Amino acid sequence: MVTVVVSDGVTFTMEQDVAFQCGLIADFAGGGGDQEEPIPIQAVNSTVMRKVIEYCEHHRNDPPQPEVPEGTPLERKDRRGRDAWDKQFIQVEQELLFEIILAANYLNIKPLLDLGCSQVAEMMKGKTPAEIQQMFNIVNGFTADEEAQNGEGEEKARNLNS
Amino acid sequence: MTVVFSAVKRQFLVHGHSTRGVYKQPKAQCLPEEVLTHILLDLTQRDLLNVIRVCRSWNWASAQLLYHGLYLRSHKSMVLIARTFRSRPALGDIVKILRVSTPQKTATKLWPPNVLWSQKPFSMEGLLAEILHHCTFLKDFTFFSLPNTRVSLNLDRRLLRSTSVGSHLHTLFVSTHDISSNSFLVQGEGHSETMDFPFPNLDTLVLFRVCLGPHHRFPRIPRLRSLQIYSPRFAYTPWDDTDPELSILHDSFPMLQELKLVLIRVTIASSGRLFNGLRILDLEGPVRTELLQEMSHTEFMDNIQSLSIGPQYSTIKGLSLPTLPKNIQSLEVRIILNPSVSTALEEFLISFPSASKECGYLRQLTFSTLPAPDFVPDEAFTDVINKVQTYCKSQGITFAIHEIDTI
Repeated sequence: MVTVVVSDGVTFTMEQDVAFQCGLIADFAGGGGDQEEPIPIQAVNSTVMRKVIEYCEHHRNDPPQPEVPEGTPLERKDRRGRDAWDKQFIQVEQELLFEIILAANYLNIKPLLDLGCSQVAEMMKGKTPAEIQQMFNIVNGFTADEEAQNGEGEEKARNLNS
Repeated sequence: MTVVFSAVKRQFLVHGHSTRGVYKQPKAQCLPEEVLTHILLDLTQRDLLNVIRVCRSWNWASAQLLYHGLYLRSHKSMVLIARTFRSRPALGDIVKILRVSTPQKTATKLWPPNVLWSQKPFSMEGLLAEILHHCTFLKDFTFFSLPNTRVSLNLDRRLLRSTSVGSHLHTLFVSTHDISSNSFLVQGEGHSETMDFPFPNLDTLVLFRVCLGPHHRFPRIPRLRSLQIYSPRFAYTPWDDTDPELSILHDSFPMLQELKLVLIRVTIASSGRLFNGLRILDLEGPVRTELLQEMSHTEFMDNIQSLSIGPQYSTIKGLSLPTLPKNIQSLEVRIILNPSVSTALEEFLISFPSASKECGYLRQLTFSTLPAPDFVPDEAFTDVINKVQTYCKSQGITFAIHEIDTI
């Protein structure tokens, strides 16, 4: 059994195969026996941790993912297929969605990170910059000059091709 | 010991990403860059062009994806990119792959006639030099001009020297289809063996129908591993003095592993240890027989594992083979299927056993065929193919025959 304590002081205990889907916990606990002291995870609160554990418990029997070599970030990813459970799982409020992504990134749970990121990408598809700003409550912070340059983006859009 | 160790780990965990006390920005705006990139990888280019205008931090992350590889197909897109780099030079540093090509036929409809490549002869050295100047870390550069587009490009040393491109360039592909006007950077100045070359780290050089001019010498390219030269000639006609003749100096390419010469006359200034590391050799067209003969007597053939030849590569009638490299694993023969092909194949069948008798590693023989328009396979043809097949089977060699659309 592995015990963790999160930012708001709540303690979670889970079985090793569930906990070790978090790369960070696996690294920390090292594989040697039971941890007598709880592992502090300050970057994650209990609400998010509950979701993370729910995900890890559901996927505890999945085969391990093949290692993707570092240094090829620009290739399109081969993601684990999203099943109905995953789709349902990731239907959460935007605030929580981003917290799950940050937690997955911090705890190093790659499939969960993929799931969260593709959900965000899905939300952005086909939207204008203004719509995206509004949806995520983003202040653009561009200067007037930069805005003018951005205006050219439209023109560029038709000429760029990678 | 264990206690100390875990205490250190613990500290790392506690001082990891703490969200406490951070100014409460919208979550989407303060994502770590690696997470943002992860999200953006799911988007199409069209979506990225919207995302780039959302906010400052997103702008940079999406620019990394959008500007990594640029494909410029019109004068207009070159002008726009040049203007963008002028106002934001940092974007140029992102570019790793740059392809410039003249528009394809279908694309011509999209552009107003006054900017069509084909309407007025247009020289783009200045524009291209400006774009290249900003692409400091360019790894892969392709220039491709289609025939009859009247675009001239003088990619000479002056142009490429004047830019900062150079030390990172790994792959260079140039196709100009422009036989008359320009020569490429292989023009030698003087006869020094130590001509310096603007791309010290070049790994792959492909010259596709680039005019080489008569009597060119290649500069030394120390890290070149693959060299492919396609002649501007379009047809197999007898050589004359205006044909390019490539002169390769001793020790020009110490790292060369792959050499492909299509319809190019070659003289090698000195033989011997010229291509010690050569693994793949592809000679297409009527390459001088002396070259192959000369090669077969030198030890540099010893490392060749894969050899492709033809069609009717030698002045020897038909398909008689010279001695094959002794460590060869795979042999490809390109054959034009015409009425006399059966006779040629009979000759091949006679010379193949003696040519390959020392080749203990030969496992694969491939015929790549290009049928002449009026060719119909007859009985003699089927018969000789069957004979080749039977012979290969008896020697444990895999035999394959497949059609190719173009030589």
